[in-house]
Amino acid sequence: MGTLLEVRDLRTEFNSEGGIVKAVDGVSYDLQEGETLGLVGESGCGKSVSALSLLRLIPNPPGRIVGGEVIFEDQDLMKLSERQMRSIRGNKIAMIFQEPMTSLNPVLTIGRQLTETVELHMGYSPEAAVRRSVELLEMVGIPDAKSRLSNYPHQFSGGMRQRVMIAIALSCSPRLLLADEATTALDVTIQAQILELIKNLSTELGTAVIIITHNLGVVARYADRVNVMYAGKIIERGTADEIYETPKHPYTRGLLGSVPRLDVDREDRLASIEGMPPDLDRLPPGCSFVPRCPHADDHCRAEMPPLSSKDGSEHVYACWKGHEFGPLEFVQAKA
Amino acid sequence: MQKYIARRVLLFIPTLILASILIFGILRILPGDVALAILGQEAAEGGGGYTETQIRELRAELGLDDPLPIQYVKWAWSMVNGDFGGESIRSTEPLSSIIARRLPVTLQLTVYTVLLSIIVAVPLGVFSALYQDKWPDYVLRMGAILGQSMPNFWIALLLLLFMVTQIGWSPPLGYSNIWVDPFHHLQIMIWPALILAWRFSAYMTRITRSGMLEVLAQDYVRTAKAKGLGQQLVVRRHSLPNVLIPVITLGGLEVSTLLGGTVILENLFGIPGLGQEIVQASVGRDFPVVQSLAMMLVFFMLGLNLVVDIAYSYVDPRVRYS
Amino acid sequence: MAIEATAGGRSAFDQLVEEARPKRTLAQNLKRFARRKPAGAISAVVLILLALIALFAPVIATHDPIRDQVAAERLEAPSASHFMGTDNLGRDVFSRVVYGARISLQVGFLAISLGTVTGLVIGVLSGYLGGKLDLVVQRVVDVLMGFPFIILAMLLVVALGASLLNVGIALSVAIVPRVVRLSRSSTLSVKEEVYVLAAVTIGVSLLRMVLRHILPNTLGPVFVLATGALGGVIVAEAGLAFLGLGIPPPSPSWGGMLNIGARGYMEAAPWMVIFPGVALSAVVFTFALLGDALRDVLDPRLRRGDS
Repeated sequence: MGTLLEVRDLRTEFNSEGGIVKAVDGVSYDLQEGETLGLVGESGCGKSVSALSLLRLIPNPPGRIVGGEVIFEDQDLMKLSERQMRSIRGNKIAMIFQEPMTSLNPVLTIGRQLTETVELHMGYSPEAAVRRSVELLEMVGIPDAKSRLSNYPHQFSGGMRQRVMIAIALSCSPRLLLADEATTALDVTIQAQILELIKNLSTELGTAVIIITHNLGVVARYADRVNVMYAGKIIERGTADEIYETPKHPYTRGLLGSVPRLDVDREDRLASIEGMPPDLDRLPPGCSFVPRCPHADDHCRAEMPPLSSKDGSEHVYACWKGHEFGPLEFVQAKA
Repeated sequence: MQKYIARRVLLFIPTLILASILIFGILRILPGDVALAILGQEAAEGGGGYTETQIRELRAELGLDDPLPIQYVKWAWSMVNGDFGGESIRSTEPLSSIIARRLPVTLQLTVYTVLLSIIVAVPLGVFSALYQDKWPDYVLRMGAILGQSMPNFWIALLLLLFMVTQIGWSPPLGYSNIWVDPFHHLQIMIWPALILAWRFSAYMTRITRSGMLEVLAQDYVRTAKAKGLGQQLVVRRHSLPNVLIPVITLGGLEVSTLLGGTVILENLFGIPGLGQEIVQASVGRDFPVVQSLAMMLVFFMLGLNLVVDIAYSYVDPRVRYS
Repeated sequence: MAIEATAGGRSAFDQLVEEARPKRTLAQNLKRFARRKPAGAISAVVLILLALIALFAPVIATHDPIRDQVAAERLEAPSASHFMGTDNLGRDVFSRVVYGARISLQVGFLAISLGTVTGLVIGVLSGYLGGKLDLVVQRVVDVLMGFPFIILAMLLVVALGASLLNVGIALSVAIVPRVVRLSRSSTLSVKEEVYVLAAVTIGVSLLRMVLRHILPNTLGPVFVLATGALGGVIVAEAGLAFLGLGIPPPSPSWGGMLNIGARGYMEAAPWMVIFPGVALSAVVFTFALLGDALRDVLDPRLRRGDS
């Protein structure tokens, strides 16, 4: 399989009251066709912004993409005209968002919101679009699909709405699906259903998926490779197994190896690292993780380590000391 | 939804009754004898005095000898059965005829203003929001602030002053029914409608703009963009219907201010609507006319709010299906 | 702790509330306001100037606004002796505009203070006591809000008779429902918070509760509303006078002057219309700017639906 997407040194900034926030600060990665990639990090680390940047949907003002290349099917998306970009959005690259309750338009029927995409990108007639929409709703497991086309979003539950969102996203058989915290707002049992659905349908259609989440359990189960983001940068990348068994960056180790506590529920336990994510408009000169890192020394404070590995393997990390760390003693059970 | 509408309509009746009690109460219970007030005014104008008999006769004529609750019920019933509270003291014209003659004029002026405002304000508001904080936005916002803070009779006076002194034009005299002479009718109505529309559309532009800004920041607009829809579809299909919901509601409430402006401009431009009559009646202490016309204006306003509420339920599917 | 609270002095609850408020002196607050809202600060200065003009009208005016009628000087254009010309009775327009500021502000402040105080009392009590009283107040307020402002004022002026005091009263009634609605809703939200803490510090009297905790929290938004409404009240007064229903002549009300000027003197003496009109719209515009600025600073919640 060939390379579907290559992101090179992507940079996105926001103007805020405190100054310029480098939300995405030189992110590079690639994605093979049909691959499922995990993009993991705490909220505010720039993972959602990097996904929106791929589609050039950063609200401007206050944000703007200041540099980098996004090579998708051999063309640089950053160089396309707005019109060309529109023919890619929803067609070749589709996106599912975090909030199923607010991501659908409350005053339009589900049918209208489904049909407009295929009418726009695939030139379907209204009748054909309706037939296609019924198929799509059946595909995502919505019973009685035909009669539900005339319903409005508020007549669906959260899980059902997210299924509709998936149906909309997959309606033009995209090459790439961006799932931005697509299950975070849902109940745990529904979360699993939705993720299974995304996994199965993407396999069926040969669609590559980028799963953006703060939940390592989700990534462990569904992703082939994982990018860990911190403060606007990718700080570790490897296969899901590598990341889980021998995480090299203290941040990843912290995320995974936090001591299990019975008095905290599982969600919180996974993210319990000392301190808070840094303010992106006031980053320290060296490694951004220094303030929270138990292993930091003067070298870390002075210079940001590059994303690399000592032995030339594909498992890369941005830490001067990463090679010193072995497998985690306590390996978090995969969710 | 039928339930929702039924509840609104049922609530409308006690609201009307309460409004009529307030109007009646203001004119009767406040200090001062109505008959004395009327005769005092006439006496002052005529330079003479008045006798006890005259007072007694007038009191009987106005029904002031009845206890207040009876007076109220009589008046309220006359509003329902079409008498509208009898006749004018000054001209002895029946109120039913006054209202039949004048209500359509005020309605027309209001409708022209609202239509004109919507046609202008909605596109401008959208435009202003799409160019947020760029110069077209600033220009429009400045115009809106000016339109909202300049008293409309002052704008009208400026306009007349300019027309009269600079181009020697003065507003056409007399009024023509739209069915009789539409051209003359519009010639008369256009100026007050434009002036009222400046203020009203200034308000509508502001709320359209802020509603649009709010909607443009919504997740579903991001979804629409992520689908690859162009700006036109994003605005027309995904944003406008959501913006119109608050715009209709707030616009409906603002018609109250618009009616106030209508009252003043009808007097200034000599337009024979309810506003002109109620002011003349107020100056002339023609209590039956003031009372019934005030009720008609309030009824009009409350009725409009009801219509807006019902229209709202048609636009917003969340209300329609609950 | 409960005993301490009733025994007077500062209860723990008072301290909590006290600490929640940022501590700034008046001067600091004003400086902050001027820096963040220059338009608001400028309009505040203009209004202070206006107040001074109104206060020192007898010193500033060159003529007596009512008595100095010189038949030979009727409808004279602006000149060195009459900056703004003379009217149809030979009175000095400049002096009448200056005294007009006095009338506008008098009526404005009378109406606003009367309306605000009445509205606050009704709104806070209605919100705090709830029950049947609240229900009745609510309905009446809803209905009154449906009345066009000027119609309500007109009805009251007709009933009370036209005088400066009565016009002030009439306009105050017209703003009462707005104040009631606002103060009631902020009382309700404060009451919710107070409720929890009140359970801890049992025994705080009703009056004390209202005075110390509810009123201060309600005053901010009401003050914003009042400032914004002041401009509206001044326009309404001018509107009534313009219709011949305001403060009766010969008092130099701006609206009344416009009324006379518009009745046949527009061609012969446009200054009779222009100067009072400019004064009126300048004042109203300034109030609108100040109201906007105050709203931004004091009560961001009110900004919904505007920007």
